[in-house]
Amino acid sequence: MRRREQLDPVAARELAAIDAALAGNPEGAIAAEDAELAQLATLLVAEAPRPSESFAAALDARVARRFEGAAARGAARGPAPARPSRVRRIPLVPAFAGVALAAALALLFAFNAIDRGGSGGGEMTSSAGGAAAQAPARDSASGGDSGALMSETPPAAPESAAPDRAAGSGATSNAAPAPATARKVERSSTVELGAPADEVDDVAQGVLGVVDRNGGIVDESTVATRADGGEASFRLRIPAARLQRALGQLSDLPHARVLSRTDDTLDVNQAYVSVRRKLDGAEAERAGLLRALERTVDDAERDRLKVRLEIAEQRIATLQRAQRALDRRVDYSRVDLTVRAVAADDGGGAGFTPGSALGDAGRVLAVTAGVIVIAAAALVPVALLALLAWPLARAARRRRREQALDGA
Amino acid sequence: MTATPTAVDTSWERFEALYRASRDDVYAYVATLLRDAAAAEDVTALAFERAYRRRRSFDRARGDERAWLFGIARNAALDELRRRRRHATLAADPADERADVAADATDAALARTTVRAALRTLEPRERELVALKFHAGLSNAEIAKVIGVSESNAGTLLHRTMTKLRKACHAPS
Repeated sequence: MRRREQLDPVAARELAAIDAALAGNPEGAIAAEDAELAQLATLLVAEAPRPSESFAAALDARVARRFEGAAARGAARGPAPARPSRVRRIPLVPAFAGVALAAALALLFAFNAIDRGGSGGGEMTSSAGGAAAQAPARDSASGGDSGALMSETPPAAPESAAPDRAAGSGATSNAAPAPATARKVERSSTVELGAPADEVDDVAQGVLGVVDRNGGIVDESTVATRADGGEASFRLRIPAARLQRALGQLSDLPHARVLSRTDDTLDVNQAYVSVRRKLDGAEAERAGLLRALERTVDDAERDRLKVRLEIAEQRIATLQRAQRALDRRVDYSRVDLTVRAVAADDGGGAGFTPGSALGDAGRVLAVTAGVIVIAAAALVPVALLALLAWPLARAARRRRREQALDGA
Repeated sequence: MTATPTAVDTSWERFEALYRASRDDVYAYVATLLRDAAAAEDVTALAFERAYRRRRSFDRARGDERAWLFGIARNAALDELRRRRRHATLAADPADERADVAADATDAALARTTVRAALRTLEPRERELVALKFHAGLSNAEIAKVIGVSESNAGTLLHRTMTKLRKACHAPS
């Protein structure tokens, strides 16, 4: 029925005759052969149904009132005229869902980006060695806005090693590997603090105070004061149980901020177990020699046993020293700390400056731009789908309507 | 009822002028399509109501206002037909024309009776074309816009319908 066709001349002439008849046959435009068709057209016009006067008057009144109360009446009778059609709503549902999803993703991205781009700008790395990597992995927490060191989860307290050591000093000969939760782990950190040139000395004094408050030991310290502010370096040992607290206090020192930080973790459990086993063996050997010495009556044999006993004693002393050294490495974490002067506009101070404000503003703009890009990326496919669905939905609705004519 | 609204009118004034010019034509078209006077009144009112709500969305570049209005009326009428089909209600039949013949047995009355009988032989789509052309007074181009075909196609369909109608008029009763 909708096939495109060219009008043949007869059809064109007859249609023109119909139009002429409808226009009142101007200037006798209808040929004699089309007179009957023109009469039919006139009769068809006369057959047009006319609205009743009451209906026309009622509709006129409603139009004059601009269809007041149409919504209520429409709701009672069927689809309200002002309500968007079903077809119009179809593409909006996925569109709204897409917008909500995109907004959620964008917000997630924004928060992550802001967290990563904290104004402290400190660099933090973490590494682990040995088989205990799963425990120190917690050290790799991200830096906060000020690059605070307290962002880490405190590691397992080294005091948990105490029962092992106590047991090791006994007569247990077959020292089994310690369970994973009580492994011997050596932790160390390298921290670089920045401070204004005239505050390096104060920050250095603050470092010493932190070490003292946490029961730590200053193995080495060098404080060099120069016109440009100088530099201070420390080699510290901090009780492992207090390492995180001490690092947090160092990051909170007045006028100081963390420029970089590296955490290292080394699993020394195997070495510890090995020393324990050797020590137990040496102690067992010494006990056996002592028993043999008590029993022997032969002088030559006694002298030989004494020599062996002396060797065993030396071996035990050596192993005990090794064990104590390992204990110290586990119980005390080494911290290599450097304080260096940084320019004021390098963010060395904790104060608010126009430069840092400009930097923050730029970062906010960058994050905002990123959010917009991500939201656009999420919306484009949704919009494309809606664009594709829109004509399809229209065509389907139109086809359904047309089917009503076929069945009328 | 033939005034055409001008482009400079506000949306309400344009709508009012369109209503005045088209009220009876829309009713005639819808009544022919539905063959039910009461339903035609409801659908006509609904069509104007929808047109009023959407009057600001009318795009003159996509066609004239009468074609736009009859498109709305057509959709409303087709929706009504679908609703009827779902509810399995019968369309009302036209009045019995034999009574008219008996009362007024003139040539004109006979011609009207013949035309009415011929109209009943048309398919719904053909009846719609007759309504749009002769009851609503649309041009072939406007009819094409309303039913969604090309103008030449609309002309062909109309000519085919008229040929069928003429044959029906000449057929022995």
